[in-house]
Amino acid sequence: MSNKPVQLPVVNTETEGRRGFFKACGATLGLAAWATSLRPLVEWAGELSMDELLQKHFRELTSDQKQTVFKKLEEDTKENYGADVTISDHPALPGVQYAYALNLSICIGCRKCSEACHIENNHDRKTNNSYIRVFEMEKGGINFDQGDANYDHPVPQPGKFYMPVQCQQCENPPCVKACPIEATWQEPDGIVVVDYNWCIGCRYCEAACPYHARRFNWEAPTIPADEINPNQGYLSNRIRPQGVMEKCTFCLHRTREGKMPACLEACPTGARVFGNILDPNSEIRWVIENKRTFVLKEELGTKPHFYYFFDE
Amino acid sequence: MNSRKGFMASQAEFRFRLFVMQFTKKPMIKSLTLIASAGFLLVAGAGVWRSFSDSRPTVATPAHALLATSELPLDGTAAVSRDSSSKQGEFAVTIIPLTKSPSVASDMMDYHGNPVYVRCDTCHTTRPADTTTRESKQLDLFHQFIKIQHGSFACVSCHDARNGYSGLHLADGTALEYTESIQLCAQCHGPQFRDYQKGSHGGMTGYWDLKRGPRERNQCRHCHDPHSPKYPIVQPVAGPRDRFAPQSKKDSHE
Repeated sequence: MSNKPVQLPVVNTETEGRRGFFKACGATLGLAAWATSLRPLVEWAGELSMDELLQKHFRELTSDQKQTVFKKLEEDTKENYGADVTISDHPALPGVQYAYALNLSICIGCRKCSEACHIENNHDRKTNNSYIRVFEMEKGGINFDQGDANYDHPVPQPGKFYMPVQCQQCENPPCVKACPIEATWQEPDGIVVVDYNWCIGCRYCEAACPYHARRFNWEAPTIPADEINPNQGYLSNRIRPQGVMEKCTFCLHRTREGKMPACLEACPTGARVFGNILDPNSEIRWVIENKRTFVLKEELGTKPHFYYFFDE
Repeated sequence: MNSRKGFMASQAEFRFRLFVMQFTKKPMIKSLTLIASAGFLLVAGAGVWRSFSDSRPTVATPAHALLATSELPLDGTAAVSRDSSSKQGEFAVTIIPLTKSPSVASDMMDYHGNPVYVRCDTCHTTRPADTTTRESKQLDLFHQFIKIQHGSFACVSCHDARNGYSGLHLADGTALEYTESIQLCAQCHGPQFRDYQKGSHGGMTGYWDLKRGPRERNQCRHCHDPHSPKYPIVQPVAGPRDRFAPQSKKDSHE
């Protein structure tokens, strides 16, 4: 009998024993895993430039870096929506604190403000989205359980009053505290903004907001090119990508140029009053000093910059 | 992967965590993935991590500090002082004028087929005024369409019969053009007029900051029909279709 070990006919080379086989298998699996692990990066590369991947926090970008980002976004809008738009930065004006007041005695619930917001802020046409939700409320109290935001009948109805609710631009904003990555913050003029490039869409802020003022982009908005508002702000009404939060910004691309917000201009009754609360001669200041104003959910300590009042 | 398509580069740090997490959920290749991920991080991550560790704000920057360093608009308009005690250099607030004096259709057509309207004083200069008339149904001609739902006034309470109804008059008899009717309304509706003057009643467009641009305002008659001043009942435009909002309560009862 020979002492030569019996070899299997298939794996019969000197260099590939059982150990070699497992080494080869391991190497193959490792390579496969490596390729799989790289796949997300390849997918990112399809829609992201390295500049975007490495973009710093918006508040730390220099003017030149901002221009690069804006230019890229303008090109993207042209490519995806076929519209020529201008995206720009609107820094907060010094010495300005914005406040809004709404006269519930005058509001008739026509939803013109909601419509104006829809158009001005490049909202999704499919969902008719808007930052403003108008509640039809029972007279005698402020009870949102009895309110109806989906009414579709002539207004105003007897025994009802109408209460538009949008972002209250809180001085103590719970949404900002909830954000894990500082994608939303309060500007020096009191407006709470979202950087749509920085937001990861975790929706914590949506859950934190007691006014249901934040919206999530479940899909990329669909807007015909000729309906796109071309005057866009990076932090306000530029077309939001899929998977990020959005909110009312008091139309900062308008108001930081001194203009009225779109919802105010659309209001046919003049129920809305907007202005700089630090200016003692402003209309908003007169309302706060002379009308019996109140804020929504005062007990939560959010200190809204959005006031409601009745005439009588 | 498809669910993430369309996300912008929001936070690479978070991406990397997600990226690693998705593989660690599969035990079969867990260890291999960790090795692969480690390699990946070595190759691609080093630069990214360095970049983000530089860029992430370590402490919340106070708002006023940001204000001090933020840039001003290129046109320098933000530098305009907000000295509101002075009206110098402010843009005007224009009240949109009422262009047309009232007139009635004469049932005749002009050469182009348009209806011919006639001024009030066409007839009223020759007809004596009936100071007791309070409702349009008391009149035979032209005024039938006027719906009157405004207190219990006689026509001549506001209309000036002295010069053929071609104008209005205040309570003290002062004659007033139709285009100045805002003063007439203000006689009785003081609180509304005060609110209007203070900017909390009546639609407007333009600039909240009059240092930067003008403003236009409606006046009473743009929204209120003087004969029936209650704001008309309107059909609202469609609201947003909330993803989670319940259907209208009215519908659920039907």
